[in-house]
Amino acid sequence: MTARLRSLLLGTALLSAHASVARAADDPLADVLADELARTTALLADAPDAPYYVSVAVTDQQFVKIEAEWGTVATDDRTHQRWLDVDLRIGTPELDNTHTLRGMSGLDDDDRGRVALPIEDDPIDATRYAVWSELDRRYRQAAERIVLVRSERSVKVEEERPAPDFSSRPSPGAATIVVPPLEVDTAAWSRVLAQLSQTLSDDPAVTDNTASLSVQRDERTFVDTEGARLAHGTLLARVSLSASAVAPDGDILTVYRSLDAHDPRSLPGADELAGWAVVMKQDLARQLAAPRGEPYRGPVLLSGRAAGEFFHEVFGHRVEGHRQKSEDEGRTFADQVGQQVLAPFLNVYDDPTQSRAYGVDLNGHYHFDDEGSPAQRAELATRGDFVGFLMSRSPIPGFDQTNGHGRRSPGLPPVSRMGNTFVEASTTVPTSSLRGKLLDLVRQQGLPYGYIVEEIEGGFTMTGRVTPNAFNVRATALTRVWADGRPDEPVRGLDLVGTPLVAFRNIVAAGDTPEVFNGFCGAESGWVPVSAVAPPLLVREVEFQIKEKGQERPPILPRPGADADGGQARVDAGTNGGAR
Amino acid sequence: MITLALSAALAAEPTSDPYVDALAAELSRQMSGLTLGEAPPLYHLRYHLFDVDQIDVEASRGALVRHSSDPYNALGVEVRVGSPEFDNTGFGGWQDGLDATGLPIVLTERSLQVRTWLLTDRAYKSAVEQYARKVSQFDAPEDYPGNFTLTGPSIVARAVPTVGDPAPLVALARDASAAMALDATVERAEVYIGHEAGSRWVIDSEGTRARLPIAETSVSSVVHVRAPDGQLLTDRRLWCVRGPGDLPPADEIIADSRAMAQDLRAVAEVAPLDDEYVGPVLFQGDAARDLFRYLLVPQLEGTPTDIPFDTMFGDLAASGGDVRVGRRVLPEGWSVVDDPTRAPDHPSSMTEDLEGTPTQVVAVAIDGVLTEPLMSRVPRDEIKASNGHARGGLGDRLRGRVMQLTVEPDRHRSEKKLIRTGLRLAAQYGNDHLLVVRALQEPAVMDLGEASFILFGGSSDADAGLPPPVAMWRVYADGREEIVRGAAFAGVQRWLLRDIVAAGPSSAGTFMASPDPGRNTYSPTEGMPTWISAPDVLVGEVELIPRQADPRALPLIPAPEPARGDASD
Repeated sequence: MTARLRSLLLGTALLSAHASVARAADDPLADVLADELARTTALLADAPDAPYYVSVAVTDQQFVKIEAEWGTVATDDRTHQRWLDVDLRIGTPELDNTHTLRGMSGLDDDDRGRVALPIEDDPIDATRYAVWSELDRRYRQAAERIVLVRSERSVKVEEERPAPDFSSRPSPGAATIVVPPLEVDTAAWSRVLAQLSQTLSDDPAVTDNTASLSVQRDERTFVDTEGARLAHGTLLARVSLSASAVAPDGDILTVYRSLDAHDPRSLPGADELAGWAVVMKQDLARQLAAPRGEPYRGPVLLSGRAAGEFFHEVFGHRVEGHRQKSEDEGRTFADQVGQQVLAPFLNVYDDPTQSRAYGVDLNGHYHFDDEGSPAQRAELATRGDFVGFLMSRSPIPGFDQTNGHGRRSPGLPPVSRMGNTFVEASTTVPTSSLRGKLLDLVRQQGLPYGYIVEEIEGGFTMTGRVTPNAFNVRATALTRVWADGRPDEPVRGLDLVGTPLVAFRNIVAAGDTPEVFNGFCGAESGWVPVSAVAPPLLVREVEFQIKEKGQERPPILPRPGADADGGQARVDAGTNGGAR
Repeated sequence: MITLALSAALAAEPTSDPYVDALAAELSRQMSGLTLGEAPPLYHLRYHLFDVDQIDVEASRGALVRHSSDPYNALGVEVRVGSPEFDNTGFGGWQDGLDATGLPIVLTERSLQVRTWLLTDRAYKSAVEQYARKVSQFDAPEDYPGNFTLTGPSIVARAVPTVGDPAPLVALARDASAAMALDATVERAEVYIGHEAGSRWVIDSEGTRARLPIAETSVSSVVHVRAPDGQLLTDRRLWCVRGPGDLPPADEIIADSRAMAQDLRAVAEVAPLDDEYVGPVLFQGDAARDLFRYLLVPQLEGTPTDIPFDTMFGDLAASGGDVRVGRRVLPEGWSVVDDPTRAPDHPSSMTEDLEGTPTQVVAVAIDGVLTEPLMSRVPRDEIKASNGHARGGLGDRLRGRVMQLTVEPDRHRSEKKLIRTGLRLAAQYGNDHLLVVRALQEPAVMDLGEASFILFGGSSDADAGLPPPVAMWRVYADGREEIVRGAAFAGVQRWLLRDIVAAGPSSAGTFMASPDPGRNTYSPTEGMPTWISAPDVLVGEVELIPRQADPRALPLIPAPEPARGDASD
């Protein structure tokens, strides 16, 4: 059987220290996927609308999550699930059933949903049946949809930027990349997390606290009609601490810190995490005492992590190739290829093949994307000029090849997504000098103060045409820096907002100490792990808007066990609240 | 996990458990301290502490799809401000002083108290706001029955069961699902098992301390079969007992599951109903019990429906039964009794309801007329006191609900006589046969795999009033029986029960009632187990119409050959 001819097409350069390549042992799951794929495509070979491409993918997910709060273990979840995804194409690569439909027909979108598979291979017929059933269902859907696609060609106007629906690529052949087993000392972690949450909750102002460990092992099996037979995946571990308090004005303030690693054994130890907890309590106290900021327009210094996330939201989502095809998208960069969009000292690329940067494991590392394409470095901007897009196998004008960025979570069609986004500066200044440069800009603009953004919790961006093509990056720790030399002042309740092309042109300097932001990114193809690596960036002008805030008063009674002096003060009705 | 520690402690001294003491201390602190300016006084506070171990198993065609075995702790709170005569409850919307939250699986007194503090604070603020909304929109009439009945404390400590071994349940799920996977026409051959054991503590500001047992094991075997015209047929078998040891032998469940799949496959082969049918219908067994479940039960549950909250989006109000004491709900001579201890080994059997009130045997209907609906401590015009039937989910409003219902006709006739009577009636409609329905499809099973929130599984069934039959049998005067599939009820209303012509032998079974009346449950083991005994009934006139087939759903790709031979042999 062809599918059994396993060979290794991947060079060792592709492999991280955390994975090893090996010939696949007997793999009944891969066998049944390949067998059923071969059988069904053979049966459909003479059908009027025979599929020209089919892939079958299984994601075997094991998940451990331990959470502690108030000094005790709150959850200890272990789940094991398998999900099936079938991508089936009818028509031709130039025009197939996946083509975006416009108008009313657009209601007939890809509604594959999550298809659960047995988590065990015996009896294998249970899996075989489910695979057949899904192949059949997807074929029936595709056969109906291609009719709509063809019809639309004669009814609707020409597309603005027509492009084929699917690109060719060399088959990755067969490869197996062993994913390490999910091994966690849950008892030891439970003790550590409980102690951490105890430390966090010692502060009587704290109304919510969590110390959490999550480890997810995704093992992906992928076969397609082009001869791919892949077994690969990821192991991601995260430890995180969070604590929240309610400010007298109802603002719910949260401090959060996390670290991601490819091996739970690489996560920080108890002592280091205890240090985090102490610092976080101090941060929370500072935020509680901080005033809410006012709307602002002026210079801002972004820390490396904040800059990474800023680029992810503002730049990264706009260079996802598939967005250049949709008639509903804003296509910020579609006509910017070769044009300068960033400061000339900035280079941006996305490289999922990198597993670590600056001593930190990268969340966005993978070997193959969810279309079975090998991960590749994709150049996005060079010396400030925009040069390319993140590509799946959905071509766009001028970019007809995948660069291994077709990603999804189970149950959704893959689209081009970020992996590890690197922002690099060819010219840097010492990071320690950036504060002074910030103040210089503040004075030049005649402002009383500027801002340093230390931490952001994520954000969102709108890339469509109907809504403003704007971004909102949610700051969680920012400091007001006064031009007259007053002490720095923490401020809360502001978000960075703006439009992308303007924001990028305002980057004026980069520090020399890049940092890593690890996270999970949600978009139309689900949640995928991502990283952004960037140096601190000084921006000449950014706008801040007031963040939404909670409307509930702090708890009426003090926390149980809190004494009158150490606990939260009772808030009297009819006042604006206040703690003592 | 607190089950074991709690059980051991309570066995020795039922009312002095450290966690419950901690909860009681927090209740006391909240009762004395929670005030806000001009807000109405907090007059009643109740907590539900839920402490169970849960096992969930799902298997398909002989292989495990999901399995979990976890402790689950949770807290529910009910805050009442104002007075029993007029408080924040019984008004539409959802931020009404009732709330719930999960609790740490390793419970400590501190974590329990802190979570209780936060939850109560939130619920209290909601209650105060809800009270204001109610005052602003609702002018209580003089005969307004009020919202609550103060009864004094209830002190109860029932024995608490412990969770069973998951291994036999996993094996059962595998084997029973394998037995149903006859061939590719069986689209789903799945078994869902839910098992939970533990306790539910109820404590309140009147001094109630009630420890109530939670013991439920539900096995649901589910089959979907695709008929040649694409019509989807579904069926299920439900076993609902207290503990895994109370289940029938595994071989029996496996054989029953397999027989169900075989029967449904046979149904798929017969011709569908091709024209509407109007005439008498004999409901037997499961179908008869379901008839009373859907049409009678909502008329017996007496907690008043919420007063609508008028918002810019329209009225917000919980759906509820249309209950009126003195209304005829069944033919003359019929009686309805809810006796929560009638089947004492069934998980629906309770000696105290979820408010800690001793359950009562209630003669709900006498001579076919509703006399005493099932009540919680929420009064209504005619009945001010609870009769011990409060049930509901954690954080839900507790309502008077059915527990163990017996529907008794004026007299039982033999099946033979029912059929003879039915045929005679059918002839009056020009039919040479009587239609017999033996099982209705289960909405939670019909909807499996579908993102459908439409009542009874599809728009064409939305106005049916009853879910579609699994199959029907045409019964002829010469004794011949002919299976028919593909029918749906049309416009069934509650007064159909008054058209019952005759009753046959009774049978008992279980259904899973939704904690929220007015909606169906969405998983095969979800809901509150409810025991019902009811007779077969011949109804004088029912309308059935053909259900639409779905040829688009028929496979285009032939199914794979099973590697281990056809399981149907």
